[in-house]
Amino acid sequence: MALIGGMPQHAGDAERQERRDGELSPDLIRISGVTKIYSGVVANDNIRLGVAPGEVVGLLGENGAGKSTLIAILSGLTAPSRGLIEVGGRSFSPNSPADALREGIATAYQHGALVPTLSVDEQLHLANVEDDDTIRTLLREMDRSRTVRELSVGERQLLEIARAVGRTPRVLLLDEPTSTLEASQVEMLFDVIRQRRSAGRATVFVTHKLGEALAICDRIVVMRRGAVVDELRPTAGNWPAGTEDRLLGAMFGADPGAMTGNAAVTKRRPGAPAGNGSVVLSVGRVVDTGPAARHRPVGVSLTVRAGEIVAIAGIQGQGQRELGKVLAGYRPCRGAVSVNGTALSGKGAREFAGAGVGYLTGDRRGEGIVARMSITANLLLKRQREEGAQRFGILRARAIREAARREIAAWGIRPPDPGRPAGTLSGGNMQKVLLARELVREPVLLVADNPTHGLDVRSQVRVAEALRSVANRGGAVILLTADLDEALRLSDRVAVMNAGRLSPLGPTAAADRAELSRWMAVGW
Amino acid sequence: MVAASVESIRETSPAAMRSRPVLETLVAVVLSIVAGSVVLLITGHDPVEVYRALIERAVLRPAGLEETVVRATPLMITGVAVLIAVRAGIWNIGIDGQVLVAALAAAVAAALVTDAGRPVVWLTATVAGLVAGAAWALPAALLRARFGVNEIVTTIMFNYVALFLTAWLVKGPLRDRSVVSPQTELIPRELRLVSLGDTRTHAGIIVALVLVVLVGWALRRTVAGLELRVVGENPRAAAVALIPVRAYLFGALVVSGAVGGLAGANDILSTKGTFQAEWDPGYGFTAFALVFLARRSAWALVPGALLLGMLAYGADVMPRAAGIDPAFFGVIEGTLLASLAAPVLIRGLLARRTRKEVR
Amino acid sequence: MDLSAIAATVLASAVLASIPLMLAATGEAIGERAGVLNLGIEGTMLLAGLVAFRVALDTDSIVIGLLAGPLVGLVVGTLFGLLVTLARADQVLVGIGLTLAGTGLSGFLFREWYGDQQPLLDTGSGRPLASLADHVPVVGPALFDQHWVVYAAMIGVLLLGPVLTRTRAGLLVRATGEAPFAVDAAGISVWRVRLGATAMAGVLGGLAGAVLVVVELGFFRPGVTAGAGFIAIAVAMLGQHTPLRVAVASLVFGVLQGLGPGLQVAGAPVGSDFPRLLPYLGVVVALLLARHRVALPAALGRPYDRATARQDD
Repeated sequence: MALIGGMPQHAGDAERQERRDGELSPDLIRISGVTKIYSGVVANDNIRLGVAPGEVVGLLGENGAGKSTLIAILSGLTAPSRGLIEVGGRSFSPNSPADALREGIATAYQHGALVPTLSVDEQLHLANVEDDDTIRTLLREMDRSRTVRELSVGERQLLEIARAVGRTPRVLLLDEPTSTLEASQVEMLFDVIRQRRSAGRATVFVTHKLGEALAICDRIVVMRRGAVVDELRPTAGNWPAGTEDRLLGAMFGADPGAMTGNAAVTKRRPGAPAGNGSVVLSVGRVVDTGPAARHRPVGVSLTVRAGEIVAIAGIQGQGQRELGKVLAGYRPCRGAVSVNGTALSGKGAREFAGAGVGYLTGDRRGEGIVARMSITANLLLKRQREEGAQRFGILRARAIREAARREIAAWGIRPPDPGRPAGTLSGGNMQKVLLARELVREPVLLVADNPTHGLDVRSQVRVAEALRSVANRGGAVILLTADLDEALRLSDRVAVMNAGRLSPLGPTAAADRAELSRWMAVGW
Repeated sequence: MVAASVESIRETSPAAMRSRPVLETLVAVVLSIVAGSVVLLITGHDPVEVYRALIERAVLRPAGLEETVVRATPLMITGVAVLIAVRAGIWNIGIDGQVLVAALAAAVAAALVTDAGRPVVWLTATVAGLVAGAAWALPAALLRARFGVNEIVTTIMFNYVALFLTAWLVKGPLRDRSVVSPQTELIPRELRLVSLGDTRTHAGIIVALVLVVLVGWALRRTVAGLELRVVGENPRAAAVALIPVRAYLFGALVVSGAVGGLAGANDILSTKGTFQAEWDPGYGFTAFALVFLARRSAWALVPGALLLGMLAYGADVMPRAAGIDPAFFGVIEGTLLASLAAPVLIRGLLARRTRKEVR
Repeated sequence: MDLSAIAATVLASAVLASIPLMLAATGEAIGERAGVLNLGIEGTMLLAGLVAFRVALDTDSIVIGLLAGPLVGLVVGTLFGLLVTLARADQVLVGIGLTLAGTGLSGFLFREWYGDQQPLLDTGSGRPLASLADHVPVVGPALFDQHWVVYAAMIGVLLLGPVLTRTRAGLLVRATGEAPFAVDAAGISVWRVRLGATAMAGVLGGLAGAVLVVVELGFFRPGVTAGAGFIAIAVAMLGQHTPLRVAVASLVFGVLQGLGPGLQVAGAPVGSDFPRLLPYLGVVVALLLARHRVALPAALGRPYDRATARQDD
């Protein structure tokens, strides 16, 4: 028996018996009581999990459930705050990925683990990967003299998988390995996983795609809010009826309202403009002309009305981020953009902001927060030149302090210490700071780039409420998100972005989730 | 990018935020003294004797203390110059070039108006210095802001260009033919900055102190100061917050150059009175040691400059007092800067000490 | 002296002057490839140059002197490397500190050892091909009337090219400067690669100082490098961090350095100071013109921090 506990109600007497037997054929990896706390936020909460030789364990959970943290701990990227990990019966506390690799644990990361300037072959050589049949199969359609920079997103992901698989590790950790793969490539990956199973090597498959988990896994473990909340295995080779519902329930919580918070708040206010208000944003055949991007928006046309939230869903790197920047004036473009009737084509971010466009960046730490400056200063930014903040170029310290105190109280920013460096805040509190400074300007259009990414559930709800409040006040919101369910949950109308192109825009109420998710993956 | 390396010395982890700035700075100072002692011991000098002589001459004797203050003055001004750039996240390693060009400009301009009396001489030389310093920083600023050429190498290169250009000018077109050594026309002592009371200390220190207060205030309390610091801390966040980043990079480097130029003009108006060929001010790197000794705070430049001013004066008198070549003090400044740059090392040393105490 | 003779002299001295530059710049290029900017090369060159000078004088052997330089460079480069990796110190500041300390220490030790004396080394001998120089006009001396160290250094630097592109060590260095997280994820210690690269940069910087003092000049005086260590940083960038191109760029700046004395010999009325600023101005102009071709390694200047490394993506 592999799983140790997890849900106490599942651990009956028989299971406990099995656990004792298990000591004869011990788990490859045994995690007990592992907790990880990042600046006050519990990312992993008392995780107990075992992985047996030859087993394929699916690790399911929505964004921010703590899967990636667990993978980071096992990979040696970060140390747990508490808890014990054993590998092959011996205590395991890696200080680096090298330590993990030495114990036969290899990881295929979501991104960032390839060197853009190296060729495919050099990349494999760097990772000490022997060129065997598996590698040749996985990379058979790839020109291996090309540099990583020249590969497509899918090819990079395949190479990243090959990099980890190629070390024939005892335990293979795959972190969202299929997010940009085509169906045939996914099947190829599954073949590799099956080979590993028959060779007695374990695989942990992290995903939020139910179907794939059900197709390949021997056992599915569900994480939510940092904890293991459920664990399922097929009986006699088949998944029991109702498995999908049970998994969904475990992933998102028994009551979907708990996930979305007070559902009423995120819905349109009765009598609010409901999207037949005046046109706030009008975009005609916009082509991004900014610095190089993986995919740049091409030929985007879009009309957004007062009172509505328009979601643009897309897999990371398909051009949504660039589109968001174009619509807020941070990237140049060709084509027509106007806000409330003011033509802004060819104008910069300052003019866009002047016309009432707010922008919530998708890279909070990178370009949102100024980490070493106080919460007060971070709340002030973007408004520092406005009347209330300065006179003759001199900051009005008292007014600024009072405004900060008000915002901190109104948004419940924790800790409520105005002088604290903003870099020490949790992700959720950082996002509150950034939201506060956008909303106080009462934007007619708010462009929000992945606003709930990496946040705890409570903060996600707060963000959702804030977006809806903009719409209810008569503004409009463009929500860019990688999470289709979030798009469906929060928006009035929804479109999909793929390879820089925008799909037709339709009412969310009539949207077909399956169709949209196919559009996200392969276009339309 | 290289510019991002300013970021790197910034502590981001919560543990690092709980640093002990004064203690850590003291440890860095002690480390540099220890490094100097090792060098002295190896070369057969008695470090205790050398440091005792230094303190005695540069601090305990009233005349020495005055000289220490005099030496601290240009360091304080160049420290402010470096600080302005550093807070904007750019490396102005070209202070010496700006000082040289500004000093020459100040000397030549002042010599033209010696008949107009003291205030005019001061004003002329100061304006000439500011303008020349700014102008000398201009190409590097333009290259950085307009073309993205890193300022580290260009500012250093302009130091050497300034060195040879001023030497060429002062040996040729701008030379005062009435004296043997190549230099500009001497500004009479009675036209230079007034002394404070009956001391060698001059009004330049007042200028430096006013500058420190002004810049320290401006960085904290003005929109421009706030925006400049945001650019230095996180240029991408600055751009998102609608701050014109390139304009600040350009402006900070030019203003830094102007302030550096002020130090050059101040030297001409006080101790020097004339520009002599092949003068190597040697302020630039010391100013970096100063700014990080002061932990990038404007106010702390004052005590820091006094400490380094003491070393600078020590460098002048130690050949006679203890037979130590002035170059020795470069070892102390260099190790001081290197240890200030390595807070992790210092925290490690402190942590070890704390553990021992606990035991 | 006729013009072709002047040109021949200028070229010969340019080739000689380019060698220390080439060695230092190649070292800097290796360090930068691994993500480390070393502004301390100037100080390293001075310190190593002084020690090499003394050893060569004391042992009466240029070879032993030349060996002492890289040894000093190794120590200094390793120290620098430890500070910027394990101690996570800021590269620019430690570099400036190293140059300050190296300049100071070399100046101090020179006075301690030699006072006001100015001893000289013989730089005239050791030219195996000198007899060929007269057979080729203009470029003859540049090609053949050179110290054997010039040839050895050129061959050595050119051999480093394939080392960077074809060996595993070279692969690690190149990867570490671009994507340190990828190196870490592959189970390779980022700080060890960087330490190795900075040590190598120190060795080459030390050799550069030794060659400058022992082979090119034959004397030492405080600050004798006159910014060559800084020009080397620019040359490394202009040479796109590849030894072959670095060598070519070094030659260009060697010519600019040799131009001053050449003009004087030719009787141009410019004095000795004006031409001396040409190489430095040349660096700035070259950086401007080549700005689109100078691609700095993505992680240059940044200490590696595993916790934040992946957010850069």
